[in-house]
Amino acid sequence: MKVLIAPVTVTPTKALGLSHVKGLLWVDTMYRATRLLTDADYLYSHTTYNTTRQTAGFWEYLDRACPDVDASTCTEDDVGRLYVGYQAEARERPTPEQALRPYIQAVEDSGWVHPVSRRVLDLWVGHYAWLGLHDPGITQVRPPGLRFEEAVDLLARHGLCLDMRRDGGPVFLDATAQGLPLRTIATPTGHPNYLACALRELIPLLPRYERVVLVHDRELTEDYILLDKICTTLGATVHRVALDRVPVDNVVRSSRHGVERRHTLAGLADELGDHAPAEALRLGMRLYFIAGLGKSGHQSFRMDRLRCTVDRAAKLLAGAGAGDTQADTDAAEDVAAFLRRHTGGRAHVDPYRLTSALLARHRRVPLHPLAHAVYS
Amino acid sequence: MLTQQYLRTKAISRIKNAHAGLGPGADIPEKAGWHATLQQAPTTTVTVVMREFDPAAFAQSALDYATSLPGNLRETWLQACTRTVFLAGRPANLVSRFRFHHISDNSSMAWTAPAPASEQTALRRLLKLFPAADLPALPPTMTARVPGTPLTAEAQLDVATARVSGADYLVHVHHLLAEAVLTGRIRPGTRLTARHIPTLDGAAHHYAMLRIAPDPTARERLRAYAGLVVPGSPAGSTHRGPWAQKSPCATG
Repeated sequence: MKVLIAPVTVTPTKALGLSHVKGLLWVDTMYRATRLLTDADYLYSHTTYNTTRQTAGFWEYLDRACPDVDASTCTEDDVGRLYVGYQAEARERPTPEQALRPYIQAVEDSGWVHPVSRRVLDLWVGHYAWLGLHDPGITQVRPPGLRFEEAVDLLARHGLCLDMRRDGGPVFLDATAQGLPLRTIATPTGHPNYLACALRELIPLLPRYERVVLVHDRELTEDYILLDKICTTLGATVHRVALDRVPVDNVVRSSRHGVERRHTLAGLADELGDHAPAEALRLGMRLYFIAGLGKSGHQSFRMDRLRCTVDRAAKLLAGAGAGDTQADTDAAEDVAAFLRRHTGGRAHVDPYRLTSALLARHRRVPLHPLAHAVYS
Repeated sequence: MLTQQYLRTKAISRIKNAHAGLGPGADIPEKAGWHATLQQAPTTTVTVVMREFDPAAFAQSALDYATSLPGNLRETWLQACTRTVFLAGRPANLVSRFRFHHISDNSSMAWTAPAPASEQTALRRLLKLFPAADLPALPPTMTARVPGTPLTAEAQLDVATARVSGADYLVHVHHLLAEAVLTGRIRPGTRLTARHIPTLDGAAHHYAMLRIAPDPTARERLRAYAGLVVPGSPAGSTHRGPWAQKSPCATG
């Protein structure tokens, strides 16, 4: 069973916030655990999405409104503040498409990345290493398999696309046959949005996988149901996983409006850097953001609880069986069976079920092999 | 000449006739508020789903649709201010969920029967309005035929193209053709030649029917967007015939 795990990509235009951390940990756990059971791939290409207005528009803003930013030294927080400035301007005066074209062209031609976003990605590589996240190639150039026009042609052949550009209208994704409303995926001049980018990337990959797992923010559910229907119509078997964002003091804030450093991954590193050994810290972060917060957004982020969870992770790792080679070997034999119990009958492992199971008090848990293979 | 006074007289006459169809109580102002009255909320809606803008196929399909309406639906249309809503969509994707009265021969357009707008809400929620962009290049002339036994009868349709969007073009042409058929102004088998011209020339032609609507680019002014010339119709015939008896509002 070959599984493709395809989450929403975080654009390199800001610091990684708490919701991003939650999403990255969920997907990382899903991928690494599923990989122990079956052939799994993790789809994550910044190149694909750097043509969107969100990213290309920010780059244009940087060069026009903030030409003196030193990309070699700026911090994520600096970039986040600039991004807030861009979003404020874009709400008042959207960037003309003509101004975006040089950036889009450079991405399409060579996978070009603006120096400021390259700096952000370099910083993220450090964060990934600190958290022990698998790097799916965040600094690599990975163009989507289809050009936009190829994707439109293919979708139109299946009756899934309504291209009104000849009549001065946009390009719509059309799953009206399944009761879903038309959804714009490109402007009348052919500038695609993130959904079109996702399709350019996903469509050519679908025949290679028996299962596709789409992981997305809950607020994108409508779009992802549509994406699910489109991929299903094209022959894929799709499962969606929707994650709520992480509230702070009961409020979910978008990075478009700015994020305090203490609520970014860099801020968490400031707080927890010396709090526990790396293995405990990585396990604790996953226990908190996956099992503690769950898929929903009912619980606000609590630094004290995160710290307690890291402490608990340290105790778990130091608990019975630690350093016991025979116990670890026995447990390793159980790992596959243990993981399989947490798939919910699907091809991929459910990060919530698996991570919650690590906390079970009265069941044997292959903690050390899993901590090594999945949680650190 | 298509003077403002002439257009206004014609427009008010049409509203009166439509209101007569609505029964007592559907009063309209004689002098004040006529402009707003032209844009009042319609009572009946026809929704047209279009995959693309193809003026020749559209004109033919509009004639086919109007001809296919049975007597009771013709009455529904004529006795109300009928609004036509044009939506972008693929009819083929919708036929399993929605009931259409007519689908064009090339399957690129589909029409609902005239009905209260609320009956078409679900369809409208799925789709978007047809783009109101500039008109694309149009052929100078095109032909269509009213379904039925071929006759030697001919008619000419003049369509204004200056300062008219693609969406407005659809509304104006559709109203004029549909009403020309429904009122019997053009009979089954008639060969229709349509001309695309910047503006209608009232001095050169005696229009048997006019599509009159407010000019969005000139406040409080009316404009003739389409006109039907029927050879043999005497000058001033626009004041007579079934058209003058029962005609819907000029709203789109």
